[in-house]
Amino acid sequence: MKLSELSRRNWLKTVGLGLGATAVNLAGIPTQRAQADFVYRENMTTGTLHDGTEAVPCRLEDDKVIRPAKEIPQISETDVLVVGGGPAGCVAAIAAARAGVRVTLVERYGHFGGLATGGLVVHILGHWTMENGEKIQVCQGIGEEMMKRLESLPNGIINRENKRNPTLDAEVYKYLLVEMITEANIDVFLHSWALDAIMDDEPDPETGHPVIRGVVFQTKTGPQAILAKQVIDTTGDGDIFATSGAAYTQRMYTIGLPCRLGNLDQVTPPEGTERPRFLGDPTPVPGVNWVNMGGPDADGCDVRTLSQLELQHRKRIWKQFLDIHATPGYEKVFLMETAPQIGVRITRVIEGVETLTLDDAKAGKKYDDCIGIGGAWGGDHIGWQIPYRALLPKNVENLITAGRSISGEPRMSDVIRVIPNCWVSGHGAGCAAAVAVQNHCIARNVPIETVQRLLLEQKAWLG
Amino acid sequence: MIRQSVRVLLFSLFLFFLLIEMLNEKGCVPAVQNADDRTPFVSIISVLNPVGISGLCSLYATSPLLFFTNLGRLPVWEKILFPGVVVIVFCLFYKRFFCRWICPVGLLQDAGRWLRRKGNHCSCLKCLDKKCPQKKQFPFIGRTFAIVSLAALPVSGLLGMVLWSCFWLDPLALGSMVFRGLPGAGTVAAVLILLLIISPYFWCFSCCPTGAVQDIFYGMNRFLKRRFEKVKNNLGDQKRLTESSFDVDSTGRETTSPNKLMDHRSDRKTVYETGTKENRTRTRRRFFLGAGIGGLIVFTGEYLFHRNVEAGRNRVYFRPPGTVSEDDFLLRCIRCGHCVSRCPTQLIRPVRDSVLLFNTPQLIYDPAFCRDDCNICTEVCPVHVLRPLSLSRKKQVKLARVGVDLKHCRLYYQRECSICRRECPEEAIKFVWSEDEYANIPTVDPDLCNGCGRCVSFCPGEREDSEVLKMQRLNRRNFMDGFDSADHYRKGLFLEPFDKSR
Repeated sequence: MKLSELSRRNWLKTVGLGLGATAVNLAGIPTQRAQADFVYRENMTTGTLHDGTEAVPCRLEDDKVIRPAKEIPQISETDVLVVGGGPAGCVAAIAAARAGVRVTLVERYGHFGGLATGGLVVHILGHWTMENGEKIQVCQGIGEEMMKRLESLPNGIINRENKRNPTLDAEVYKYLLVEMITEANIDVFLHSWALDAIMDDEPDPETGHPVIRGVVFQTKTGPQAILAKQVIDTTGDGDIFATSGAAYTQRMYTIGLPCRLGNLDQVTPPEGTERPRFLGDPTPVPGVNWVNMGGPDADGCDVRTLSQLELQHRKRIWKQFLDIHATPGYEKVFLMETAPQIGVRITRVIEGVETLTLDDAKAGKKYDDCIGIGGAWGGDHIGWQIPYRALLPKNVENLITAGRSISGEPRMSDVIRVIPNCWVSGHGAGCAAAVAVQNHCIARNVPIETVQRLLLEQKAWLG
Repeated sequence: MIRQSVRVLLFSLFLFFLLIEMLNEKGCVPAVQNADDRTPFVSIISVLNPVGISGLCSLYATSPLLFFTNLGRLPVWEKILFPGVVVIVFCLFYKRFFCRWICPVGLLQDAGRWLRRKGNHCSCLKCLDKKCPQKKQFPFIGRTFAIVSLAALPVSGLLGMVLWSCFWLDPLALGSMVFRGLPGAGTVAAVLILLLIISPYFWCFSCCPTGAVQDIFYGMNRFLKRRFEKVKNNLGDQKRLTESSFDVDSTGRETTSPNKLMDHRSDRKTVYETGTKENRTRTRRRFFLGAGIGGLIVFTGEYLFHRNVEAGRNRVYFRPPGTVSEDDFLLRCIRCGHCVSRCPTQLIRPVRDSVLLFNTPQLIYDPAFCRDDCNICTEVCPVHVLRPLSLSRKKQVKLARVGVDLKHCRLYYQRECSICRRECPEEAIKFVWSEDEYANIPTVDPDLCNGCGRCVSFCPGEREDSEVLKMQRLNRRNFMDGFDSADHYRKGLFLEPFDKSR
């Protein structure tokens, strides 16, 4: 039932029930745990944080803000730490967990899916290529499994037939990711923002590069550290490799804010009405369209820019919506949702051992350490191999990146950044990290044949 | 016997190269190609190909007509290396060398004559030679063509344009047109064969301008020789020119009795070989007649030409890279179809919707586009209406101008797309953020864009929104459609002629 269809009686019923339940909770029988929590909060020692550590605030010294040294509690230790629960991160975590290692997945928001769900980029663009006049789906493995499972869920995904570019539903995908991650027994930390990389005090004896040992997260509990043997940076913005000192390029790219419109199936435009421009494209939910947005090229790592753009885009969306609303026949259309997460497309891109270029991709360059095949948006070029070395930073050990931040020239990054390619590179990163843990080697020296075998076992497509 | 064998051999070569082109990856031999990637066939072509034109073109280049009418426009090296030079030299001393040794139509003519050998006609091609008593005379259509063409050359040079040309009547051009299966090829082949069966001589001796060019040069040789003899006579006070001295072939092959020769010569009515006064008068008369007819033809030609140009201006065709000015192009293009058949993306197609421009090459974009790693069309043109261009030069040639149709651009509707920018090999397309439209607008840099049409070819386009859409239906289908270019999609980019007159 839609909000708009809610009758007064039903509304009263719903609200009444909700109020009733709340009243019971407040007045009656709090659980044992809840009681303990109340006690705990009342008895907080002055000058301590929620995790019991001492509060050490920053200080102003000579007009400079200084953060004093402080020991950070280790909340967890794991084999593979995946930072960022977007399409790449989720697939990486699931792939590593299925390979049989302990995996921890950390996400800054309260849900998985990153831009695909929170950013309302619900369009699966570029998971197939045209070769010899035939459409070939290059995104297989866990990405394909997700699409298949979405298909089995109500209103999960549309346009899967004939290898078109499908559209998924953000809420269904959020749920599916929870289901798959729970199935894989992955340790999950939500609402945790990556703060800093933790580097080993000794560099790797073989390569002489610094070795990453974990990540510190800013949480409501306070800063928390998670130690790991392998770290996968799927933050998209490359927060981990940037803080770990790896070489990277900072790019500016168009930043927008998608939204969803509802009630589009109740539109009755009179003859001759011009269709409003920003109606977007259909989603699996009947009557709901998602409206994408371009935007000015801007630095997606600059907080002031992000804030300004967020304000500007929200104003614009409202104006667009009013325009649609004012069009005869479109009165019932309502603005259903704006994306909780701003649509940053490309920011930091790692300087990998191998750098992908568009010319190589078009020429079909082959790599012996191929961990997946990327697709084309409109069948405009052939499938391109993603080499494992493009995921590895030049000068940090045990850190693998995946998703939009893998090494590529600007024009290539534009191809890399779409969801299926993130699935594919995430899959490769997850398998490689798991193999590195199992073989007790650094990520750079991982036996690539084993990784490729593992990927094939997990039904990935390597060409 | 030897001559026939050579001719059959060359003819086979002609067909062989055609076959190679068909076998060899859509016929494209991009200039940048790894040595390893080359097929043996391609290697053979490159060996046979010292001046950078393909083997088939080298055969083309043997035509004296094509050589002469392109004399002013060939690069210096090709002037010297053009195989036509050798053929011309031979033609000076050996009558109709090209027709006898190379021409594929000549082969057909032989066959036609062989079919009719019981008739009243001469049984050998030597009827052109001194010995044939039965040679039939026809109006010199081909010669008129050829003379007018050659005479127009200096004028053309002065005016910077071609006044008149009959290239397309060259037997190799006709042959190529037939074998390449260009439109009208069947008709041409049928007419030619019919003509050769009905009257084996008619084409070769009376129509073919290439044959006429050879006659003219052979005649020039004789004329000069006679002058030389005259001077020699005057100086040396020798006795009058004898018949036999006339007929010493440069090859010195044969001398026959003067009496017999006399008979035959009075029968022959070629312009320059007649020695008697009467014949010279007839020659002059014929010359003026020819000039008159020629003038008429020129005027007609000019009239048609201007109509041609008008037609060309009214319906503008995109021409292949390196094309000379449209006026020049229309008359010099022999419609041989080389560029058409060698284009790897089938971008170059023959014009079919105009009688006068029939079979001239035009570019039909979308889905075809001009590949940035190929300049084959500029290399294969036997008459250089497509100037030979290196790869880097070809990339600078502007074929068309790319325009943006915002109403059909995905970005205008805030849909995710950057295919044109990615596909542009010159990186001429930039996305500019427009605060008013609140969208990224593709803009094409006219300095960088060379109109290859790649962006247009890959543009997924946007739905044609001419009618009010029922949202019910709208919501059941996805516009993105995997970018299937169906009829109801219109492209956000389009091509327009860069410069109509070029």
